[in-house]
Amino acid sequence: MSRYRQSGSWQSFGPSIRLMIGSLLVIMVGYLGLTLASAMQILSLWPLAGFWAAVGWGSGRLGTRPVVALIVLGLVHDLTSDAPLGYWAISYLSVYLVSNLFRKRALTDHSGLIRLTGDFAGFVAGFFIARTVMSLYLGTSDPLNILGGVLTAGLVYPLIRGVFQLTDDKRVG
Amino acid sequence: MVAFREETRSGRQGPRTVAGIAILVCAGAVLAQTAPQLQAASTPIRAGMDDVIVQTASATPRSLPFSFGNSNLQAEVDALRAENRRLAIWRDAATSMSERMARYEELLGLVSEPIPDGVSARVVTEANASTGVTRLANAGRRNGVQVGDIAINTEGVVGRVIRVGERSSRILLVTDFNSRVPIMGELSGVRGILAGQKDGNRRVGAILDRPETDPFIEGETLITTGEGNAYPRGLRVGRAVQLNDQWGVVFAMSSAPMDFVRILPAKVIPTPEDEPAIEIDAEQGDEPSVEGAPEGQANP
Repeated sequence: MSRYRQSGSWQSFGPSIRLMIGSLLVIMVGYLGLTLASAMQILSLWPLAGFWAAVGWGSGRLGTRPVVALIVLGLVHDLTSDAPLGYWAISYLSVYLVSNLFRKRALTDHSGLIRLTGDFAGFVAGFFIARTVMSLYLGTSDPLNILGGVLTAGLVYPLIRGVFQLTDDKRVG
Repeated sequence: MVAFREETRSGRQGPRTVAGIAILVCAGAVLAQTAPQLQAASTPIRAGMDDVIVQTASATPRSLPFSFGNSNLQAEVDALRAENRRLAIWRDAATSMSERMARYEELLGLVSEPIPDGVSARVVTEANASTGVTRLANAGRRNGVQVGDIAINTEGVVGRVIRVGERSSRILLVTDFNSRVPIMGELSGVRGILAGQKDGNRRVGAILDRPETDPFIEGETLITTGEGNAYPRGLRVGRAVQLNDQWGVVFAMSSAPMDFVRILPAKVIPTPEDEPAIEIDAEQGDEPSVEGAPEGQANP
């Protein structure tokens, strides 16, 4: 655990605490979407917060706990959005793996462009995977239902990406 | 390079394998749920979750806790909206009755269909995930709501109740492409089946399966026919519009807010098999009787 402890308040938290805080944030944003955003008729633009967790946690070292957390978050999202059980878990886990594909290269990239590309690829992959799985399930799907949520999530993500950094990877090279 | 070696040493393939297996398992679960029996297995959990969402959402304020305008004026507007909702129910009842009266004049002896009563419910949240377009209302089994009940707002039919919790009900909107509503033109009498659009168009629905070749009248009100035993007859659904060579329906419900709905019980007409006629016992006398019929109406 000690290798994760760095200076600064956020860095002082271990990965487990960060995982819990990230999960709580996702649940809280989802809850606000179901209540306030729905009442204000802006649900279609409300960020799909689960993608923040998937992209953020995927940009660090892989671990079993984030995988389990993403499955749980996905199942909760399935139940609240009346989606088939497993649908959002597939999307989140796929995004998690896609985001992780860029991790090694991002470690040697000082410009931050690779990490940005990885984040972008994660959200794009999330949209297409969610759409494809739903198309397979229903035979058809309305991409606009999730496009707004993915776009907003992608736009807001740079502001809160620190919350979803489980490990403090150091750049090398 | 240090990080690479660390990763290799610590064997980070494990989580990747777990994630891959989880994806496959979830994909299998999603595919399995295309079977209605397996889908139904999760209904109690989903109904319970609906209850939780409705209870928490009901406790959440639906507007910002401050007002930029005159608070008295706002209160008056709220009161007028509430009155408008109540009046709209009577307007729909009148529309329905007048349409039916005209039919009754043509078909004397038709058994009358009472206008259903129902419960008002607040729509607390929506679910637009690409699974379908549904709304959660804060009335459930405890309030007498049942699966198959009809939801209407101030302008027309909103949808049908597809799942009921103790204090919540999930409504599948008529705009959803899984929804099918038998409709007819109020003036032309031409019938058809209304379905939501696959492209998710929330304002205009498609008309499928028209038995008559006659066209609708542009702009005429479309009402439910009562066929299929799902919707009562005479509920307003929308307006007929011609889109190129196809007829469509501009949904009436879209022109009003969907914050409150009225949930009407579905008046399912029992089949002869479910409710067989009472056998006439010749030994009991010349006059056969019908169980449950009021006196004087048993033998028309």
